[in-house]
Amino acid sequence: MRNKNAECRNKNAKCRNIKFFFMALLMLSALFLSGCRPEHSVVIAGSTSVLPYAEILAEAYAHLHAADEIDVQGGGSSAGITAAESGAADIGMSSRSLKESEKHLWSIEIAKDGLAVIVHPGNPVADLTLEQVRAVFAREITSWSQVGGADYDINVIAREEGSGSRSAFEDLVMGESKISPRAIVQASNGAVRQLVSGDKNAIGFISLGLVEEGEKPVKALRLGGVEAARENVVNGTYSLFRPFLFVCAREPEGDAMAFVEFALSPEGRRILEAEGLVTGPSTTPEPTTVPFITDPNFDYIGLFKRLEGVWNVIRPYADNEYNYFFYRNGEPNLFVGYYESEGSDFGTLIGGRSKGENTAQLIFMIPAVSEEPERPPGWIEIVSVDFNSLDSDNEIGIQFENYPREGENWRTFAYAGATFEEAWDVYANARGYTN
Amino acid sequence: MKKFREKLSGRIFLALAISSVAALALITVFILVQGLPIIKSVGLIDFVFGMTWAPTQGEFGIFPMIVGSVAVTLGAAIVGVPVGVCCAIFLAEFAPAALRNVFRPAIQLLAGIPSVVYGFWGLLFVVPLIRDYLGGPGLSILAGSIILGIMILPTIISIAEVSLLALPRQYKEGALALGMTHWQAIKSVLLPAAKSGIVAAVILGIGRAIGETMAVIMVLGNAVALPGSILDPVRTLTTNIGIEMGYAAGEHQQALFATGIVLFVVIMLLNSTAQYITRGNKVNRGKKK
Amino acid sequence: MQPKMVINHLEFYYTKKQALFDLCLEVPENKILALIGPAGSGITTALRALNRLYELTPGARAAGEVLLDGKNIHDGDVSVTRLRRRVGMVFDVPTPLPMSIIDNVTYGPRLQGSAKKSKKALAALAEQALTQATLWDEVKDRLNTPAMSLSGGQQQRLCIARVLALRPEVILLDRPCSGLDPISTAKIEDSLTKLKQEFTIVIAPHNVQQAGRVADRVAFLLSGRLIEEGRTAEVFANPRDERTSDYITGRFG
Repeated sequence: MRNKNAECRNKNAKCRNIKFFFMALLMLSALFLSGCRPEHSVVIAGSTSVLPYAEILAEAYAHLHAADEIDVQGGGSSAGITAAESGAADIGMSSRSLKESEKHLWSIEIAKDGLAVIVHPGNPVADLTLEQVRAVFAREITSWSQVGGADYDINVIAREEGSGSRSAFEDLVMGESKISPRAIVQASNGAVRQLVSGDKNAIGFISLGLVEEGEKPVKALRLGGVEAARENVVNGTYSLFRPFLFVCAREPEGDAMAFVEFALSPEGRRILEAEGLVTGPSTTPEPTTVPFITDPNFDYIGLFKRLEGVWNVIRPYADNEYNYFFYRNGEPNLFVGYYESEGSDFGTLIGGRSKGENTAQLIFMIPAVSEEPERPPGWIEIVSVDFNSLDSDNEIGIQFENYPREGENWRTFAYAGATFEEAWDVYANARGYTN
Repeated sequence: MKKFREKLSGRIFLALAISSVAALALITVFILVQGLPIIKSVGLIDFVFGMTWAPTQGEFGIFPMIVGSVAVTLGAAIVGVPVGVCCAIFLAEFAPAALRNVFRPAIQLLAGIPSVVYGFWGLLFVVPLIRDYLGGPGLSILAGSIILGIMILPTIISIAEVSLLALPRQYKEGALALGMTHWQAIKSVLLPAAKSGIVAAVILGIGRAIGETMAVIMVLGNAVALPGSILDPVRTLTTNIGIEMGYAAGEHQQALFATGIVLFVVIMLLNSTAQYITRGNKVNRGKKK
Repeated sequence: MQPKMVINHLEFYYTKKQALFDLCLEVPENKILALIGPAGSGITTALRALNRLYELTPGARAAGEVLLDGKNIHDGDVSVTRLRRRVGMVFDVPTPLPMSIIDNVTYGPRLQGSAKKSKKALAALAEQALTQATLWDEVKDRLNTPAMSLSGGQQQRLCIARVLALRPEVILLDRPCSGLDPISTAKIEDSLTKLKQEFTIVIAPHNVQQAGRVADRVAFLLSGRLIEEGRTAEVFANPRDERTSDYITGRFG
């Protein structure tokens, strides 16, 4: 009897020890595992002005690269730059240009954004000069009645000191003056906007693209008569704008670079423009129909042969090539040639005509390299192609399907012009190809 | 074997206790190391009483924030203490059991609401009310006081109620047997007897109010200047740290740590006072034979 | 002579449990009546029924009559606070108020709305009450010190003085000497014997011997029922009921 008891007791102790070990192991492993990040992940942090656009880009990017995780956080431009430098974030977002002390970092401008000065929609004031805005924010003017409104105290709302929007505002509007310390401080664009939308006597500044984003409306003031609208930023009449930057400690690689390139790609730029930003050196026109060559006697076969000739010219520069003809009724209808050359050069040569109308549309695509945003004069950019339409009675060619591939960045342009020769001349000169 | 296990568990508990104290020591040392240099370079008087906080221009005076903290905390006390103490008296003395069983969980729930939710509610509900009916931007000392006053209610109520309930039954019986009405008994016997507990409750509530950041960062307006009235926006020591820590660097960051030191000192003082008061209470209670 | 208080067919309930069964008892004026019996017999209940202090306990209910000078204390027009000043109570544990000695004693009278009473009158009242409680000599030099600093026995006598300061008519004492040393007990019993000339006293002693020492009449309660009642000497010497003698001789308790 006694022996049995002793055995039971020992067994219990052992059981307990085993359980203890197991629990400890579990807890330790949980501790370690929690520190792991998924394989492909990019952390982007910084300006709350850039944040909503980065989020939209990230969503679009996620459709294409489902394995990657893009983590977008706020914190303000200065915080974002600091995070990028320290490595806490892969990419920092900034809504102001880099300061002297930050110039050693790698940065690229993905868009320009206007700064809107907003008030409550019920505020009778709709127009102020830049000087008046400055005086209001410096609290030299304290009542709306001094600028044409009702006799109420102006509630000035500013961003926190680390905000890129605030820095940009201080540079562009305040100049030597300082924003009054009595101004209310909020930590994001959204917070400023929300406050202004609820307070009849408030005034604040937010990203131009965010003026329309929100439940309750706010009103953007005209500055010196100029409407706060994207076009006016583009044509230069609206003077309050600042760059949106992606900032990294050094040139990004891998997934981070892929995302940066996506932001700069035609698709990315289209997204940003749709949201109200200004991308590229100047405006991108809407893709329009390329006028057809309507000469019924046009020598299409010759054209195609010439295309083939061009193809032979380009061929030495190409590493890989693919080409094929689309036939219709026994006649070559469309010639499509692809070529790839080293690096991220990618070009497509397309010529084609539509079946019904005896017209042809000449499209000549040129390769683009990621560092070459320049477009030869006279060429318009095509953003997508729909090969399905080639078999119908529709016009050919305006829609191109985008195949952005990893590591590549290509853009397509078409020459809306009369002759193939002209197009080719311009292009060859631009690219330095000899004929 | 048993002896070994006894010793082992004792040692484990000791280790855990040491680790909590170690955590406190770590934080204290860290804050001191980070914050003292700036206090030395700016000067303690200039730091604590300086009127201008403009870190980008090298000005580190936290007096406006001290005024902000004091004003908001005082306001919270004015809102929370009377309501809290009266509620505690109600729960301990007047409420029928059924009502008590509704109130107590409700108050516990109040304590469980995250502070950021308080701030959110304050921003969407309290601030517009102040703005529309009292004037000013709505983001103000008053808004912060109201929010904080509500937040510290559970602390005050539960501790004050416990102090009242802990009183010997005979206090009330003796008072009533003398022909006092219920309220007279409360006012002249129970409250004075529970005074130290109630004071401790108030001090703990105030300590919580001073340290609160998230709830008030949304409703205070965060203006860096000295407030002129309770309808003016203001910044407290805690919200200052909260807003600027994300991007502060160098001297600016040190100044924020130094603000942390000031807060530390204030809260330590409050806690010591609370402890001293409750300790003093025990000394007087003894009966000598 | 009319009894000071009469209990008529008092039935008492704590929520569902009945504590007193058809209690009929007279409290003679200017005499000391002792309620004796084992614990749980309803003695404290009966005592508290006399000044309606049971109303503090939720679920406590009384049926029947309790008359003070012929008037039922449960009548709607009787003010319970006034009742409690006419029928004062001293508890088993001293309950000095957290104030000075003099404030303790004068608290009741001050509450009575006698703000008109001058300081001198209050002081005189306090001195009288403290003397009657045989505490005056010990505290007359430190009337302003906290009452908490007195010894247990002194605090209890202070509670008696406090009740006396209200000039009640009846004084109820619930085990007043429990926990006190014999000297304090003797002092209190002494003062009770003197006080009965002016007041009617009902005492629930914590042992039978105290009843023997101070009481004029005793009432023996057992399990909520009155078993026997009469003059102390008679009940002790010749109890009519066997249970009474068993209890008094200590065969159970």
